[in-house]
Amino acid sequence: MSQLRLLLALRFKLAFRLHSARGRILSGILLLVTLVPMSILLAWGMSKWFQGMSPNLRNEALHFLYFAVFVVWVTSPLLGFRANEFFDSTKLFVFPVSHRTVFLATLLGSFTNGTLLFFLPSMVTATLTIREDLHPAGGGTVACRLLILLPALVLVAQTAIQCLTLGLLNLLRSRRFRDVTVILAAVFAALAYLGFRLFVERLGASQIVHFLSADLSRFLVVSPSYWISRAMIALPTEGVMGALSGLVPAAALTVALVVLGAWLQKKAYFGEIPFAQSPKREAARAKRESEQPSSHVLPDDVGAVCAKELRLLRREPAVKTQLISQASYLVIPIVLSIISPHRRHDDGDVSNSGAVVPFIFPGLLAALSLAESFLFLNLFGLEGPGINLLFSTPMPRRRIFFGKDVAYVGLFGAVNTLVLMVLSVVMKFVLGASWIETLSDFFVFSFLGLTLLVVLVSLGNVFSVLLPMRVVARGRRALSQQSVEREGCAKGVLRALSLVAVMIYLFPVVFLLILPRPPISLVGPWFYAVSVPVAIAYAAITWIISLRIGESLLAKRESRLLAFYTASPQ
Amino acid sequence: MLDDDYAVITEGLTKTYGDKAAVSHLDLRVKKGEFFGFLGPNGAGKSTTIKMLCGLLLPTSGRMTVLGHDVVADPLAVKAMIGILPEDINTYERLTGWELLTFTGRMYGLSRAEAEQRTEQLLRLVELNEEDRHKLVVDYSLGMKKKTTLACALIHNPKVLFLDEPFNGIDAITGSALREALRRATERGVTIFFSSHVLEVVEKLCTRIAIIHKGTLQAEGTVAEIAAARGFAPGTGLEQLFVEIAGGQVDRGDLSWMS
Repeated sequence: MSQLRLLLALRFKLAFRLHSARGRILSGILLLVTLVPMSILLAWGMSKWFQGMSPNLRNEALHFLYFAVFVVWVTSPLLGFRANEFFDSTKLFVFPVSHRTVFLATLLGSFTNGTLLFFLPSMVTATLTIREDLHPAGGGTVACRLLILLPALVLVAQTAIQCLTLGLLNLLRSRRFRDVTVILAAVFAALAYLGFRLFVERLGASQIVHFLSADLSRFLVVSPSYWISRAMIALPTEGVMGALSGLVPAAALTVALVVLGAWLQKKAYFGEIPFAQSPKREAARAKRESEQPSSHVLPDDVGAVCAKELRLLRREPAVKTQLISQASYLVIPIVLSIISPHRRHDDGDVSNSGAVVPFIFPGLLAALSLAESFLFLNLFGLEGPGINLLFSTPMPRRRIFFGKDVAYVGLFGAVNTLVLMVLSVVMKFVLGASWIETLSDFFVFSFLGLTLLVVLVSLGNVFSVLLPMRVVARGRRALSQQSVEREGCAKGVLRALSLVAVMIYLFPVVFLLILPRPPISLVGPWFYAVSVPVAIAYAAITWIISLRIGESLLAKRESRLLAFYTASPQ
Repeated sequence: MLDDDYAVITEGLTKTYGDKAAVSHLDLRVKKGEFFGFLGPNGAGKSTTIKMLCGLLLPTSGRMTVLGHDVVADPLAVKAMIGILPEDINTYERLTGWELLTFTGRMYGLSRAEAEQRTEQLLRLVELNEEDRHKLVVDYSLGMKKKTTLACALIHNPKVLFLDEPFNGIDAITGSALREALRRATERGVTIFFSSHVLEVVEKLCTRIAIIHKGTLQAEGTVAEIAAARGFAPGTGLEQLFVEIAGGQVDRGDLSWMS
């Protein structure tokens, strides 16, 4: 018992440590004062929403609510595996503690998972609305019985989590999964944001009713959540026997999962973890990547920096995370507004938002450039402690910038051009734009995009030295994002000011290339004969000057940068 | 000698992964109070053997006992009596060094007061200063992590210590203090099963050694015994013995450019 108590105490301590280590107490309190009211508000909203529905729709909604929450409960610990060390039970195996105790402790500990506690009030309030069909004025006994059933869902979810965590232990502990979870978390956040926007802006109450009326819950019959929600619905009308038809399979599954979990725990206890990583396969993949043909256009040292930078950009999950989150706020809303220009109003009118079409290309390009600017203005951010090696070489510093610049402009230039190409196809085939219009927009904005990137990377050569920001912290990636955010108020203001300066500096290029475009059309297309060479010259001169300035700044601040990037994050 | 005189016994110990044998039919006997060096090149099967002896890995076949307890049948009894310093440190990095040690002590059944008292003494032994011991382990250097984990292995006063590369990343001063502490422990009857690539340390500390290569035991005994058995001149050093037994010829490629 004392070991179990110790293990549960450890579980709480490690969970609390996510937010309470130095500098994170405030964020922990903020999280608490934000999430608790949010959870209560959600529960209240859920209750009101369910009360406003007819019994049939309410039953459907309950099935979907239970299913959604079940999925979130089961998947969230997998995504959070790297963040809470307690999920990795192998760390306990050196101690004289039995695998049964470890299993029990992890199972009991999982009942305090954040997502479980967050959604539980909503589940309770939504469930309690069922009793009102039969007992509008009260029905305390029915309410009690319903609430007794709710832990069945919690139990089956928690035992499923145990099995999944133990079954996938090796995968969850692998570097690749850690990288993938960082990206997945960003994808889920983006999807949640976009889903919310879609829900608020596009879907009316009638469409939700339409969705619930379609009896789609029949596709959920294999889900344990459905068995339990069905038992909930059956209890007030059909009594205990009706509820048992859902509860018995859920109980059987729970028992099976407990047995399976205990067996997996025993296997892991003796080092037999399923899906063991294959270092050979990992090495073969890395070898394949390394053997990709290198460029012979660039000088050897510049080419080496460029190739290294491209590998970092490809492999570093922080890059994808940032790009996904930036894209979800900036790029995707623009794309969504293009794909569905016809917006439904409350009065049923449909208005054509075709007037936004001329702004689609520039808007998207601006959004892309802004989303990518965090990388361009922080060229050393991905280096981490590896900067030691880079700066220990006698390579002229302007050539380091040269290699990095080529990698960044090359990669993101290609990405942006691809996005614009997709947009052109949409413009032509969805919005019915003419070929001339589409191609002209594509070429002008692809060129503008590349020129913008060259100017952006030039400014990056300077700002990366003046305002370095750590993106990567090897070995403690879960903390790295917070360390990025805790750079201090003054530095944050400077960073914002630098972005304003960048926008001002980019303006001439934008001005030169947008001037002949509709709806401005201040000058004719002939203007490109002047503006394109001027834009190229502007970008080229900026770049050449930036290499000199960057090199000179680096000469003075190299040791400071080294100390900054190699220091242990707080 | 009776089996009771031995701290560690393995008989035909084998661990295979698919068709590859990481450890093959290993027969070892380590006497109580012995400072036993377990040597081998990278990938020889040292860490696999240590994991099996500590009950962290199930052998494919064979038998092993630690202080008379069958490791497979009674892993808890074995774990209660041994201390482990694994090669790959897999511990709670979001605890402070102090918390990790007291937690470890209590997991071995020490009272809170006793665990805290021993934590204090061990942290002093491994020279982890007041500021560092209240930092999160995740912020420790490799050496500090190693020191803390070594202290964890010692906190419950184990009868057998399994140390896999214990001095890797530890500075000379702390290393010297630790070596002295370990030597004193063997005088008190503690058995140390020690794996290291630093042959000078092994030669200085270990009373007997075993050399394993490609999962198979190549030699066992004192340095002098092994040298005699292999036909080396008396006084042959461990390094030469080790290279001859486990090293062989290594293809180093064309390094003429390194002039």
